[in-house]
Amino acid sequence: MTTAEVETQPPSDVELARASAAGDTNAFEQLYRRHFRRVYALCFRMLGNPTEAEDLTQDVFTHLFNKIGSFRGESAFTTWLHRLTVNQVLMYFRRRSARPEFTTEEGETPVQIVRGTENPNKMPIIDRIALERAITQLPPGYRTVFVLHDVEGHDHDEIAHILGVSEGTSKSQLHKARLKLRQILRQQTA
Amino acid sequence: MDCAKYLELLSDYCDGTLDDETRALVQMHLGECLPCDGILHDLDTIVRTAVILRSETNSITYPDEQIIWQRLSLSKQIIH
Repeated sequence: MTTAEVETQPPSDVELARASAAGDTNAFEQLYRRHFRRVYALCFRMLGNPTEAEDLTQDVFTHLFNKIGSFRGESAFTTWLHRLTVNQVLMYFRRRSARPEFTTEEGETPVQIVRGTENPNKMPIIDRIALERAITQLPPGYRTVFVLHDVEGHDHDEIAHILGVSEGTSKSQLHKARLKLRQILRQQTA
Repeated sequence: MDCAKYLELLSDYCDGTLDDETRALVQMHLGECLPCDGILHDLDTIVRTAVILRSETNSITYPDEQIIWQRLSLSKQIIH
């Protein structure tokens, strides 16, 4: 790498975070623009509503602005921001008194297989947009666990810690979420 | 054939978190039960597509980031 190339390297997230903590609003704006889509996507997937996701994205960056001095660089900035975003969404669920229920979803009909009635046709490859749309139709409790596990890649131990539930509950909710998604996707393609 | 019992195990089967003995029992059931095998295929398709979504952000319609930045600037006095 030449000296010129080194000089034109964009600042790292850590450098921008440090500059932001020191009051550099230009640095904070760069961080915002760099991570806006990732934060919005996570909020949207967890909330299933674009207006709420927009408001939450603003809340996340407001919170980030106030807390950025506490980022020590011990983990990757994206990991730290991801956790901060998940926490903000969960706090939002609690504030609006619609915290996802992590027990049996009322009104959800358990999936049962009656031999001879199950359509043996396998689902074709799912369009990503169709899955995205189906996720928004999940009940909140199912959606949260599905997004955290299958989309964001957290394991059940982490999810149990984040949501304050048992690992068994996390596993059970994930299984129900997948079955519900299958039902939604099949209805969409019927 | 107790499909309900095996249905409960399909997510764990899909995630590879079953012990060897249970996994073998599920495999045996799947070999002789078309509906359960179809469900497993569908769950697996959902999980694989979800993994793609992790790095895929183009399937979402985004609001104007400039508008949110302005709202953020006004509410927190992040003004240059």
